[in-house]
Amino acid sequence: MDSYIEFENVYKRYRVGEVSITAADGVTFNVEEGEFAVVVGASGAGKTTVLNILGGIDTCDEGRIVVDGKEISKYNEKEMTLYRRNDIGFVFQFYNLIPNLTAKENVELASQIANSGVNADGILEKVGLRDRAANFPSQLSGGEQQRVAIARALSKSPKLMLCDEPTGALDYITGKKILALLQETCKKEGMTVVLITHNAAITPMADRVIRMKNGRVTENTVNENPMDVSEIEW
Amino acid sequence: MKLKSLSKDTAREFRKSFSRFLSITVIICLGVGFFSGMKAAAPTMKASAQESFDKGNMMDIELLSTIGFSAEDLDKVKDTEGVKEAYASYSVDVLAKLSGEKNFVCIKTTGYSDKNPINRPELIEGEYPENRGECAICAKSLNGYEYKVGDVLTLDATAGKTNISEVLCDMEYTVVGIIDSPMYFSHNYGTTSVGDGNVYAYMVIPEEEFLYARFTEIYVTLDIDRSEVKIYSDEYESMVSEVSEKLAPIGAESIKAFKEEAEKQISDSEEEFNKQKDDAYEKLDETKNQLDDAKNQLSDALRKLTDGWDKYNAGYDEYIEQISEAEAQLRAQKNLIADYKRQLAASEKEYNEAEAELKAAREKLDKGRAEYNKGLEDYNAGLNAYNDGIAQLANAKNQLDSAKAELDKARTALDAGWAEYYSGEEKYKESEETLNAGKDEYSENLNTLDEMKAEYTAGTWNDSGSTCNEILRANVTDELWIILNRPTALAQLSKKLAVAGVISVYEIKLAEAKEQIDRGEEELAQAKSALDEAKKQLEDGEAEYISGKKQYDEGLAKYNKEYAESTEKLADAKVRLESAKQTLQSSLTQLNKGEAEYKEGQEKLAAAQARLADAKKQIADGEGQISDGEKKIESSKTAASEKFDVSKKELEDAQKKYDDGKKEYDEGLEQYENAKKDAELKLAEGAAQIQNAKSAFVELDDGKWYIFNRNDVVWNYSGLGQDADRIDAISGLFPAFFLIVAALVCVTTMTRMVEEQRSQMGAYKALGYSKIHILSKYLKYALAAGLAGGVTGQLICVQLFPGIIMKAYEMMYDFGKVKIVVPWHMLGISLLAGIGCTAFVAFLCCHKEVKTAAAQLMRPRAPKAGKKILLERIPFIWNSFNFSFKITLRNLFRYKVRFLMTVVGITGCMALIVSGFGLKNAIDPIVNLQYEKISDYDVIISLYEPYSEAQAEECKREMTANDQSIDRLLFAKQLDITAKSESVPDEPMSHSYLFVPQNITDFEALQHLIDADTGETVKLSDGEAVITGKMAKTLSIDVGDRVTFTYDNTDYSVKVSGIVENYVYHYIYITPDTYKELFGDELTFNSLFASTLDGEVDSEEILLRNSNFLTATKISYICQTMDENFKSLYLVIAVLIVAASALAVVVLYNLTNINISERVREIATMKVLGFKREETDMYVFRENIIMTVIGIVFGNICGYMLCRLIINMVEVDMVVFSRVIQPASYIYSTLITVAITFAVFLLMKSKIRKIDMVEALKSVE
Repeated sequence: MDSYIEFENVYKRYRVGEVSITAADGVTFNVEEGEFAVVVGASGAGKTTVLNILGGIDTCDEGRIVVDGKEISKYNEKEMTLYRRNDIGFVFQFYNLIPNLTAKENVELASQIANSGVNADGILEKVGLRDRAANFPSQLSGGEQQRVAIARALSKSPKLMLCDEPTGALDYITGKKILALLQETCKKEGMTVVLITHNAAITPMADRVIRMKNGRVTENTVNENPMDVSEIEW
Repeated sequence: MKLKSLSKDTAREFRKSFSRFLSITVIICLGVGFFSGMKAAAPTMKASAQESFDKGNMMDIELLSTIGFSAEDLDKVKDTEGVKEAYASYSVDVLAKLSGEKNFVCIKTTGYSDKNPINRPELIEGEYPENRGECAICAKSLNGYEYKVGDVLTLDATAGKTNISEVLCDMEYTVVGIIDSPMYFSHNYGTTSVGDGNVYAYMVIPEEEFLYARFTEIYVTLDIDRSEVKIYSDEYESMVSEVSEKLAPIGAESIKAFKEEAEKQISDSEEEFNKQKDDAYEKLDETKNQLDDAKNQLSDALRKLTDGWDKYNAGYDEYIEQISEAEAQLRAQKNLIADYKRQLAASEKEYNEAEAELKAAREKLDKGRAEYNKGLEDYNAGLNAYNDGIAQLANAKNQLDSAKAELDKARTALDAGWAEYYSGEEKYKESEETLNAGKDEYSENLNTLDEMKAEYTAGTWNDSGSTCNEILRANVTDELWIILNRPTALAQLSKKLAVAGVISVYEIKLAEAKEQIDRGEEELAQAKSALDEAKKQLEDGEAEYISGKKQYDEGLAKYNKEYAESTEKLADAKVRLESAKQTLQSSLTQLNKGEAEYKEGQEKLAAAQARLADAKKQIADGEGQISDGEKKIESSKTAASEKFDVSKKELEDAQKKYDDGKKEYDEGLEQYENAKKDAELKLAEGAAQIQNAKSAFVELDDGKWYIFNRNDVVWNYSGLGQDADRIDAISGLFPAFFLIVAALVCVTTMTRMVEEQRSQMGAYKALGYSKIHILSKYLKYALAAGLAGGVTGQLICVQLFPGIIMKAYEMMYDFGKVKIVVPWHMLGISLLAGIGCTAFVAFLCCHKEVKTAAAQLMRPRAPKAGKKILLERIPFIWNSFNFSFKITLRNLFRYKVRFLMTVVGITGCMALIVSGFGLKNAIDPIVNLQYEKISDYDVIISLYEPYSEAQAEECKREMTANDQSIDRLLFAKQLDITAKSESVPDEPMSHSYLFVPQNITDFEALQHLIDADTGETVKLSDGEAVITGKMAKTLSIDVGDRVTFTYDNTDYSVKVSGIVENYVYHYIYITPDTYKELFGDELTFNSLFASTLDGEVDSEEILLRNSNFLTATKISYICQTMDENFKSLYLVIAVLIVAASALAVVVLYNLTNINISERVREIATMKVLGFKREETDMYVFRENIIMTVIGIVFGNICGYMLCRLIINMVEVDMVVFSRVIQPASYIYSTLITVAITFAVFLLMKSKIRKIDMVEALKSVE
C-alpha cells in the first residue's frame, strides 16, 4: 500500500455537551496521485470531517493518514500550519474570500506565503478572471468568487486540492463551469483533487469515487472511463 | 401572552455573552462612577464643613466695638429681625508660655460659659473650665506643641499695650480640657498685633475671669433653616449682609448713648472720689499720732537694753579673747611639740638609716680590702712570672751568642786550614809538574838515547841529522865538532867513540834521572796523602761547623720565635699588670677614702645620737609645760562662765520685756499701714477709673461697631469654599471626558451586538413576534448593563472619591466627621447618560433592524464591502507599502467609526494620564524653584519684639562675631496685607505680604528679583514697588500701574516698577525709604533672614543665642512641610492615572474584541490558508498598534492642553504652579499606553488562537 493519500482506520469523535458524535468511524481509503477523487455521501456522512482532517484544519482522534509518504496524523500544530501553507489548496462552498481585498490581492494573500507560490496575474488569467483582478469580492458574482477562490488555492501550487461542495452555492451552469475548471486543472497540471459533494450525479466525472455513510467508507471504486463534465447532466 | 421562550432566550443571552455584558457594565461603572464620585466631592467638602460649623453653632456675624458692648446693646441686637441668637462675651490675645519654655507666644483667649450657645468648642478630653485659673485649650499649637491636660500656662503681664492683670483675674491657668473649635478648623489661628504677630493657639477660660466692664464682642446667629440654606451659597451670603446692614445703625446709636452716659458718670464719680479721699486721710493721721508716742517709749527701753548688752558682750568678748589667746599659745606650743616629735621621729629614722648605711659601708669596705689583697697577690705573682720569662730569654740569648763565637772560631780555623790546604795543594801540583817535566825530559832523553843506541847500532849515527849527530854537536865544542866531523877514519872512530861516550853519558844521566824521578814520585805520593788527609780533616771540620751552624740557626730561630711570642705575651702581661696595678692603686685609694668616710659617718652618728637624746628631753619638758597650761585655762574658764551666766540671764529678762513691748507696737503699726495702703489703693483705683473713663471718653469720638461675617473672622473659611469650587471644576471636566469615552465604547459594543443577532431577530419576526417583544430582549440586556454599571459605580465612587479628596485636604482643614453628600441630580444625569449609552443605543439599532423585512434579516448581511481607500489613489505612496500593511490600512478605514472611536478613546485616556503627570510636574518643582532659584536664605527668624535700626545692627554684629558659618543677615519688616488694584477692585488678595528689607544689597543677594517674563534681574528703587507674578496677574497689574494694599484698615498705594518670579506667597517689596514715606514712621524689623556658608542650620541653637528670637524656621523644614502638603494632591493624581489607565484597558479590550468577533471568518480563512500564529495575530493587532500610535500622538497634544486647563483651575492661591510639563511625563504616559496596548494584545491573543477553523467555515449563519 503506497498510495498518494492513505486513510487507515481514522476516527473522529465530537463531544457536544452530553452527546458524543462519531463523525469518522474508522475511515479507510486511498487516492492515487493525479486522481480526481470525489467523496460522496449524504449530509452528516462525515465527508467534511474527512476533508478537514485531510486538509490539516482538524485532527483525528485515532488512525493513520499519509499524504505523499508523510504521516500527517502525527504532525504538531506548527507542522500542520506549514502543511496547509505549502501542500494544500482549499476551496470552500462559500468561497471565504477576504472582503476587504481585491481578487488579485486575495490570490496574493495565498501565493505570498507559500514556498512555491506563483504569479497571481497568471493564475487569474487561467481561471478567466484577468479583467476582474482589481475588483473586490462584493463586486463579483458567485461563480467568479469561486473562481477567485480556486485561483487562490492554485496559486500556492499545492500537492493536493481539497474542494468542499464547491458548487453548493452556485447555480447549475456556473457549478458545471467550476467543475470543468477543476477537472481541467487536475488533468493539465496532474494535480490530485479531492472533492466532496452530496450530489452523486457528478460521480461519473471522477477518476475515483469514494462513498461514505455514517462516518464510514462504504465503497471505493476506480472509474476507468471518467466522463467529461459537459457530458454529465443532473 | 406568555413569552417563556423569549425570556429564556434573553436569560441565556446574558450568560452566553457575559464578558460583553461585563465589559459594558465595567465601562459604564467607571464612567458614571468617576463622574458621580467627583461631583460628590465638592458638596461633601462643603457639607462636612457646614456640619462641623453647625455642630458648634458657629456664629454668622461677630460684632466688635472700640468701646465694648453693654447688656442693652445685646438686647437690641437680639431684637433685630433675622437674628436668632446673640451672646455677648469677652476675648483677649494673651502672651503665655508653659513652664520650661523660653518665650511667650500669643494665645487667643475667649470667655467660656455653658450658657453661651454660640461658637461652642467641642470637648475632646478633660472638662470645660469652670473654676478660676482653669482653661481649656486646643490641642495643637502653631509651633507644633501639643498641649496636655495638666499643663500650666503662665501669662505675660502685658500683651502689646494691654495690661493683662487689668483684664484677667489670674495670671496662671491650668489646662483642664482639650477642645476643638470649628472657628479654627484650618489648623491656623490667624494673626494678632501682639507678640510676633502669629496666634499660636486658642483657649477658653471662664467668663468670670475677665475684668472688663463691658463685653468685648457679640456673637450672632441668624434665623436660618440650615438644612435648606447652604453655606457659601449666594442665599446665605445675602442673608448675612441683610442682617449686617440692620445692625449698623444700632451700633451708631449705642455709641452715642454711651458717650453721653459716660460724660455724666465721670463728673459724678470724680466728686464722690474727692470726698472719700479727704475722710480717709483724716482718720489715718489720728492713728499715726498714737503710734508715734508708743514708739518713743520703746526706743528708750531699747537704748538701755542695748547698753547692757553691749557691756556684757564687751566683757564676754574680752574673756573669750584672752582664753582664746592662751589656748592659741598652747595650741602653738602643742603644735611645736608635735613638730618636734615629728622631727625627732624623722631624725631617729634618719639616724637608724645612717647607722644601717654605715654598717653596710663597713661590710663593703672589708670586702674591698680582701679583694684588694687578693689582687695584689695576683699582681706580684704575675710580675715574677714576667721577670722569669725575661731572664730565660736572656739566658737563651747568651748560650746562642757563645755558640756563635765558637762557631766563628771554628770557621776561622777552618778557613786557615783550607788556606794551608790550598797552598799545599799548589806546591803539590808544582812538584807534580816539575816531576812530570822531569819525567818528560827523562822520557825524551830516553827516546834520544834509544835513537842514538839504535843509530849507533844501525851505524847511522853519523848521518846528518841524526840524533847522535845533533846530540854530539850539542855536547862538543865547535872545533871538536869540526875535528870529529873530519872525514878521516880516526875522526870516524873518534866520532864513533864520542858517540859511544855520549851514549854512555846518557845512559848514566838517565839512570840518575830515573832515580830522581822515582824519588820525586814517592815524595809526591807522600804529599798527596798528607794533603788528602788534611782535606778530609777540613771537610770533617766543615761538616761539623755546618751542623753546629745549623744547630745555632735553629736555636736562633727558635729563640727569635719564642722571643717574639714571649715578648708579646710579656707585653700583654705587662699591660695587664700595669692596669691591675692601677686598679689596685685606685681601689686602694677608694678603700682609704671609704675608710675615711666611714670614720666620719661614725663620728656623725655619735653626734646625732647625742642630739636625739637632747631633743627627746626637750620634748618631754614641753609636754609637761603644755599640760600645766591646759589645766590653768580650764580652771579660769570655769570661773568666767559662772560669772557670765549670771549677767546674761539678767540681760535676757530685760530683752524679753522689750520684745513684748515692741511686738505690741509693730502690730499697731501694721494695722495702720494696712489701713493706709487700703485707702491709697482704693483711691488709686478710683483715680485710675476716673482716668480710664476720661480717656475712654476721648476715644469715643472715633468709636465704632465692626460687623464681621465668617469670611472676615474665621480663618480660611473662604479658602475652603474656593477649594471646594476648584474640585468641582475638575470634577466637571475630567469625568465628563471619562463619560464621553465610556459612551463611545458602549455605542460600538451595543451596535455590534444587535448586528450579530440580526438573523435571530429575523427569525423572531418571522415567527410573528411583535417589534416590542423583539426589542425587549436587547433593551433588557442594555438596561441591565447600564443600570448595573451605573449604580455600582455610583455606590462605590460616591463613597470613595469624596473620601480620598477629603483625606487630601485634611492636611489643611479639619472637617470633623465626613458627611457624604449625594448630588442626586448629578447621579441622575450620569445614570441617564450611562443608560442612554446602552439602552437607547440598543433601542435605536434594534429599531432600525426590526423595521426591515424578516426575510432580509435572516439572510446574512453581506460583509462590509471592500473599498479602495484614498491613499490608493496616490500610487507612489501606496505601492511603497508592503502587502500586510496595505491590508491593515484598508481594514482601518473599512470601519471608520470604530477607528475613530478607538483613537478618541486612547487619546482621551492618554490625555488624562498626561494631565495626571503634568499636574505632578506642576507641583513638584515649586519648592526647588522657590528655595533654590529665588530665595537664598537658610533660616527665617521671627523676632519677639521688633528691632529698631540700631538694635538690628547690634544684633547683626553679635551674630556674625559668634558664628563663622553665617554668610549674610538681613533684617526685614513683613506685614500681612491685602492687595488690591484699581482694575480689579472686587478681587482683593488677602494674606499677601509687604516686605521691607533693611538693606537692599543683602536683600538682592538673598532674594533674587528675576523678571517673570524676561528672566532679567529687577532693581528695587525708592518710591516704587516690585510685586510678585501671581499678584500682578490676579490683580491685572502691569509695570507702571499702581498697587494698593490695606494694612490695619488703612490703604496705601505705590507705583509698580517690576514684576518678579515667585512661587510661594505673594509679596510687595518696597525700600525702607518708601516705607517711611508711605507709613510716616520709623522702620522697625520683625524678621531676620540668614544664609549660612554650608546651608546647615541648627534652629534650636540659634534660638538660644538671642532672647528676642521667637522662632527660627529652617528652609529645609519648610520644604519638607510643603512636600508633605502636596502629597495630598499626589493621591488625587494617582487616582486619576489609575482610573484613566483602567478606562484605556476597557476601551481597547472592547473594541478589539468587537473587531475580532466581527472578523472570525476572515481570521479562520487566514489560518486555513496556512498563516502562522504570529502572522494571524499581527493581522489584527497591526491595526491596534497604528491606532495606539495615532492615539498617543493626539493624546500628548490633548494632554498638554488639558493639563494647562486643569492647572489653571486647581492652582492654590498661596502658590504658583509650574506650567512646564516634563518630557518624562509624556514618556511615562506613552509607556503606560503602550503597556496597555500590549496587555490588551496578550489578553486577546488567546481569543484569536481559540478561533476554530472548522467552526468558522462550516456555514454562514
